[in-house]
Amino acid sequence: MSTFSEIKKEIKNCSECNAVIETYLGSSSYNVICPKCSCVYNYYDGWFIKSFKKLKPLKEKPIIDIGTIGVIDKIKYITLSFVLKKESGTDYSWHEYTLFNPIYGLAYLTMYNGHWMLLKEITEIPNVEGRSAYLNNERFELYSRYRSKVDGAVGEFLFNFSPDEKPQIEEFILPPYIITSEKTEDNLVWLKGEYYAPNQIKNGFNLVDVPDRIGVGQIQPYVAKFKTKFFKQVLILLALIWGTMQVVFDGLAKEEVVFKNYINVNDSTTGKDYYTNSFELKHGTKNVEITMVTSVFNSWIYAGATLVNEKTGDVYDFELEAEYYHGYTDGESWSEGTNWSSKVASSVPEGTYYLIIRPEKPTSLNNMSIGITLTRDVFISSNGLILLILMAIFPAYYFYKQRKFEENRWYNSNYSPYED
Amino acid sequence: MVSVTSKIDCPSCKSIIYQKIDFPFAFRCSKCNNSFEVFSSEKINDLGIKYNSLNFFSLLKIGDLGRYQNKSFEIIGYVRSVNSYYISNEWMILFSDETKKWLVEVQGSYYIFDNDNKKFITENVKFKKAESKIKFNDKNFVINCISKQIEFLFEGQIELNSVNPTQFFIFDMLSELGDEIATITIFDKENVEINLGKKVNINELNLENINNNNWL
Amino acid sequence: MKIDLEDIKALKYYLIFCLILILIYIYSMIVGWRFLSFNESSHSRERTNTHYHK
Repeated sequence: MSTFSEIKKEIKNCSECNAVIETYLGSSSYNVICPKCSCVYNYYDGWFIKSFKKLKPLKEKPIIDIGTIGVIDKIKYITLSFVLKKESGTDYSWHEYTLFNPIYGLAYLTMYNGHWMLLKEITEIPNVEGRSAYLNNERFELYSRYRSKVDGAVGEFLFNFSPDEKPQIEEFILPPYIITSEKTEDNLVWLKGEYYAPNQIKNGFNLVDVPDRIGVGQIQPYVAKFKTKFFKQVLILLALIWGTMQVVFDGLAKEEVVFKNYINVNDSTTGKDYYTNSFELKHGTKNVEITMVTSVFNSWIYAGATLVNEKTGDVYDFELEAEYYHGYTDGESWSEGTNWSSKVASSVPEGTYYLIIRPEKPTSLNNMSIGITLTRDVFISSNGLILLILMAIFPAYYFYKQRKFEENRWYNSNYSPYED
Repeated sequence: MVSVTSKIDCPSCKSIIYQKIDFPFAFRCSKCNNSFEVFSSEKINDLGIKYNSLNFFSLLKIGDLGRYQNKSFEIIGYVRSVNSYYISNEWMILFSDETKKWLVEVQGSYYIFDNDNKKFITENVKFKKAESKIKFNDKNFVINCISKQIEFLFEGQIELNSVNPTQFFIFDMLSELGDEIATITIFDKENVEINLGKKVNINELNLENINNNNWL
Repeated sequence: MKIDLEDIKALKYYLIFCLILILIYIYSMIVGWRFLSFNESSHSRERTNTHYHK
């Protein structure tokens, strides 16, 4: 017996077709398959003898040639075998490459519709409950359940290669991760896999080309650049900041009533200016809110209000209009408009001011008293709402697209949570 | 306790064999390739097992030194057990305190198994299939592979009861918690044993010849 | 909470956008500027609402 600790190429010849068969691990391999005639050789006992196993010739060429060395996640692998697998009873087929690293062991690289994933055997047994499987407190959802079969293979295998077996496969996903179980009467294997973008495989194995992606991959992450979980955490943080600011600014708003009076509007005062006494606007530059309250009914009343800075002569004009109508049509009660009006002037500097109010009423309207209130430094809730809407545009778009993406991901599954 | 100076002569080619483990043990002479069972320095029988010459990839070899859980060890023996599913490369490691364990490699994954084979009740494995559960030491295990040994060879020095060239059934199991693995070996109805082990990263073994491996 | 720098980098434009919005919001609340106050009032040197309304 002799062992070698460096992986080295060994050339064998197929006794059936005389093709060259390359092996890399010697008798560490259980079986070796001829690339030309697909004869299966037993190598575990040191002899290189054709077995009785029957295998159909390969219909597709591997994208990664046997013996190719590549790097995935900084781990160097040699490609030992390629298996073309199929879902039994359907036309769905995918590539499976067995990769080997002497330190880290075996890994299985699969490719379906241009989507790649790398799977490794795990020693934990996930807890399956209904359509969920739990692994390390993470919930994976059932995506598919089928029997797989071998549709051709080449290379060397560290296990007893059984081309006739049709193991029961169950796949549970939590993109970009997957856990799958492969079960036969005598064997149960759990694997955990992760999604890899085509470019990662292309660059890792120095490939000239890899197939384009078709559709959404089974565990393809929605946006590869940032994690949805992180984004959700950011949004929670932003919501907290937003909420805190609302509370703080609401608390800070002085809401100081600086003027309040009733003005009688009649035929002689309509269209005439009414001058108020002077009052102080304090607290630096802040807003002012002017409100007109009336008891108008099935009519309108209007007041032009002008806030005048005594010192600078700066004016702030407001138009306050209250219109309220009520009636019955076809036995249905209806109402329209309001009997009050409120306007805000932004950023009014502090100083001494007075108001000029010019009320107007229609001639049909009898005498009416209007209440005018001027409030300094009111809390502007609409600003917070606008901030919220603007900040929510991108997340809304992101999550809408994500939902569409998820619907497409589950399109090929019999267990889609998006179907009624 | 075996003195490091204990040595015996290979009955076939007279090469000197430095005894590493207690009697009774088996050894295969690296010079003449013959294997023997040794009950005492006077009582050495030819096992009469001939093996094919094998050439295979392995990071480990007899004589390699390492350190595991703060104890230095030496690889003194090797068992290759081929079953109906996979090849199990089992390396007997002898620690500085004279304890022994099995370092097992299957498909590039490494496991450390205790050397004490515990008896197991035959009834408990009857009609079991993959995914069936078996309880041992109050722990639930799930069967993940049922196989049959079809080839056996050994090299170096191993305990005599580890020489099992017959065909027997093997039940590999994983603990539900994922922290332990176990192998039940069914030699016959009355003779069922269980061994406990756990998966290790080969780097944990601090093997001297692996430090510079270009696959690291 | 473990923060991945890559995630922050990938979200930087959104984070900058939010930061600017928040700063504008804070400024608006300090000076009492209501975003939606266009046409609610007009600020000038002369009174403009002297016309008859209807």
